[in-house]
Amino acid sequence: MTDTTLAARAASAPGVPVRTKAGRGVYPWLALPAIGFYLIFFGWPLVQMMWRSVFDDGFTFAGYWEFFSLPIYWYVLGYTMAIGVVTLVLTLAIGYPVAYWLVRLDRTWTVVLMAFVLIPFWSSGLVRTYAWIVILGRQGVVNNLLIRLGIIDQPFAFLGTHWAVMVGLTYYLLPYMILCLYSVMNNIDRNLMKAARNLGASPFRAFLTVFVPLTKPGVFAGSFLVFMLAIGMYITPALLGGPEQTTLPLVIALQINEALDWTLAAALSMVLLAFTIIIQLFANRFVDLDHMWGGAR
Amino acid sequence: MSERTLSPGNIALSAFSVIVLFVLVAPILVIVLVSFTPGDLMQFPPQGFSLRWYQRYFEDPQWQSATALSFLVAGLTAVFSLVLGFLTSLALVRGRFPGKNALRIFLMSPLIIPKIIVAVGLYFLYVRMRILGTTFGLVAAHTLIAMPYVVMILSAALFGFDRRLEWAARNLGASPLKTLWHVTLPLLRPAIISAALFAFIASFDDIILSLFLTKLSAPTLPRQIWVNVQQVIDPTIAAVSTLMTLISVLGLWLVALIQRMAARGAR
Repeated sequence: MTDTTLAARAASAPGVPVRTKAGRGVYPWLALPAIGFYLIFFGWPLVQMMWRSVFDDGFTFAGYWEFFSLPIYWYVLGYTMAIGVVTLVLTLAIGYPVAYWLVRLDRTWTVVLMAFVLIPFWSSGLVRTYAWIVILGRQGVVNNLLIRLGIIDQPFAFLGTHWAVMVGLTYYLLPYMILCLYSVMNNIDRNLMKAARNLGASPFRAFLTVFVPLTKPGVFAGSFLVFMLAIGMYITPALLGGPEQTTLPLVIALQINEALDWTLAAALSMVLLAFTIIIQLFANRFVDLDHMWGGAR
Repeated sequence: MSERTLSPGNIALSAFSVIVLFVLVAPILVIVLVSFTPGDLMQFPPQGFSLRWYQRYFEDPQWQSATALSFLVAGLTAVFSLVLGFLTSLALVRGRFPGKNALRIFLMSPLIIPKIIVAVGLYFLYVRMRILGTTFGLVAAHTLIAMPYVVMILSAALFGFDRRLEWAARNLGASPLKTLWHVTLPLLRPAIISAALFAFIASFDDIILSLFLTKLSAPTLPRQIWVNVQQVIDPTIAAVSTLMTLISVLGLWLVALIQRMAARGAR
C-alpha cells in the first residue's frame, strides 16, 4: 500500500530529519503500559478460557463433546451463522443504494442527511433495540395501527419471531454498512464516470462497469464488519427473539447465568472465537484490515 | 455524476433513500414521544404531554445510583484509555521496533472479537481475582474496549503532526516534558477531546460487559434499563432512553464541532 496522505509526504520530504536520536530510544518503550494492561485484561482471560474449556477437575473434552454431539448446538451454530449472512445481505442491499444516493448529493445536503445515519450510529444499542419492543409489541405502534385500520382484530405477536430479530439486527447494523460504503464511494474520482459516459456508455452501464467495481473495498469491509457484529450480538436476539431465535452468544450467557456450566460456556466461547478468527483470516485476503483500522506505516 | 435528471430511476432511488433514512431515525423518535406520555402505559401516539416519567426517573434512588455509577465509570474509562492510548500512539507512530504491525493488530482486536467473549473471559478472571462487581473491574473492562478507538484517533492525529514545531521548542531550550506539555498536547487537543468523548460513550452505552461484571444491586444505567425492560414496562425507561440518546448525540455533535474548528484552524 502506498501512503498518499499529506503527512506521509511531509515526513518523507527531503531535509526533514525523520526522527531524533533520543526518539529512537524512548518511543518504543511507551507501548509497555498498554501491552501489560492488555496481557492482564485481554490475553490472560482468553488463555484462561481456553484452558477452562478443556480442564475441569482434570483434563476433559466434555464441553466440546457436548457441543458437537447434541444437535441443538448445531442448530444454534447454524442459526447464528444464518443470521449473520442474512443481516449482511440485507444491510448491503439497503445500504448500497442509500450510500450511493448520499454521495451524489450536494455537500450541504450530505452533511444534514448524514445526521440521520450518525445519530442512530451513536445512540445506545440497547435503547435502539428497546425502541423495537415499543414498535412491535402487543400494544405497540404497528399493532395499534393495524387494529385501527381494521386489518386485524387481535394484536399480532411480532416479537419472538425470526422477523423481529432480522429487523432488529438489520436496523442496528445498517449505519455501520452505510458509513463503510460511503467513505469508499466518497473517494472515487467522479470524472471516471463522466469519461465512461463520454465514451458512449449508458448511465447504467457506466455505473455497473466503472463505479461498482471501484466500491469493492467498501463492500468487503462493510460486509465483514456487519457479519462479525451480527454473529456476536447479544441484546437484539435476547430482547426481540424467542426460544427459537437462540444464538451462540445467548447460549454462552445462559450457561454462565443459569446452568452454571462454565466448562461448556468456555467451550462455546472458544467455538465462537474460532469462527471469528477463521472469518478474519479469510477476510484478510479481501480486505486490507490494517488499512481499515487506520494503520499507517 | 452530478447530472440531476428526473428519470424514473433517480426518483425511485431518492424515494427509497429518504424512506430508509426516515426509518433509521423513526424508532428513536417513537421513544422520545412515548417518554412524554401522561398515561401509565407505553402509548403511541401519546395522549397529551407530561414530564411525570422524567420526574419519576430523577426522584428514584435506584435510577440515581445507576446514573452516578455510569458517569463515574465512563469518566474514569476516558481518563485511563487516554493516558494508555496516548503513550501507545506515540510508540506506534514515532517508535521503530520489530513487530509493530502485529502489536497494532493486537491492540485493535478487542474491537473485532465478539464482546460476549471478552465479557465471559473477564468474568472468569474477576471471579478468581475476587474483583467481580467492583468499579475498578468495570473500568478496566471498558478501558479495554475504548482503547482501539482512542489509539485510532490519536495515531491519526500524531501521524499528521508537524514535528518541526517540537524540534523548534527543543532548540529553544525546552525540556522534553515541557515540549510535550506546552507544544505537543495543546496541538493535539482536538484529537484528545474527540478520543475522550469516544471512550466515554463506548463505556456509557455498553451493556454486555455491564451485564456480566456488575452486581445486580449496583447496576450501570444500561443494566438498570435492561432489568426494567424485562420486568416492568413503564414509560420511565423511555424517559431514561431519551436522556441517554441526548447525551450520545451531544457527544457526536461536540466531536463534529471540534473537528470543524480544527479543520478551520489548520487552514
